[in-house]
Amino acid sequence: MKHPRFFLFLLIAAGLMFFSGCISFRAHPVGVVPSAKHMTLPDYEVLGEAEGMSSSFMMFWVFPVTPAADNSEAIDNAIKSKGGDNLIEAVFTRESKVYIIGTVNNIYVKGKVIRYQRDDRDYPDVKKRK
Amino acid sequence: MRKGFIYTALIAAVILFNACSTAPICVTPSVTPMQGKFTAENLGKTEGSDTAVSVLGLFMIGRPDLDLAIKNAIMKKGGDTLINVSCYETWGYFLFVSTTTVTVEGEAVKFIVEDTDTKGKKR
Repeated sequence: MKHPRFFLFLLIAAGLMFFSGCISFRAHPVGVVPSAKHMTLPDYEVLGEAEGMSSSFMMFWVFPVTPAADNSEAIDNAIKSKGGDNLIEAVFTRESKVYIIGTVNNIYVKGKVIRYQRDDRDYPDVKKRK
Repeated sequence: MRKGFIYTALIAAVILFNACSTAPICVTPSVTPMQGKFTAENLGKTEGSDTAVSVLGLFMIGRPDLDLAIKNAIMKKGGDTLINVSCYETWGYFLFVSTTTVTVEGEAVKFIVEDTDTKGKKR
């Protein structure tokens, strides 16, 4: 008689885990920087606005399953999406979604992707060697 | 008599369960890289904000967008970018809902791009 009850309890617990939505959702801005990476050249063209994201998951809110969300991964994702060199006017937002089975932490970065305009005049030494 | 008590209790609850707090988020010299750019005109101090509402302090509807707050601040003065920027996050609690507001303060400027080579000389 005990076994069916235990099975029912397990079934309810599994149902709650798989069919429940987000218990809590909070987001808050982290900061803004002129450029996400060091500006190696002063001249650039703006390729457009882009957003990058890095995510991590903690099983049962405590045990890390994936590596922690990383700012540089989010930046690289944003830059790669437009095929640029750097991200300017970068705005960072941190977000956490709590589910019954664990917590999802996201880092978003939004900004303008730029490509450096490499001019031969910027490299006089290179010209001399030729 | 009973109505008076209910109204008093309601007013007391509204006063007791309201709260507000502010925390600084960031300080940055400018929003845009100013390498090779010069300030042509300082348009003065400006401020922009964006708000998101939370229900029961758990479910946030939307995200407080710092980018939108910056754009609002720049638009108010019609500048190109912001310099001497500081940002704050303010939480307001009102019974069952709470608000999260991000505020950006800074000086709006118009800039000119000066064409310089790597040694800083004009081309």
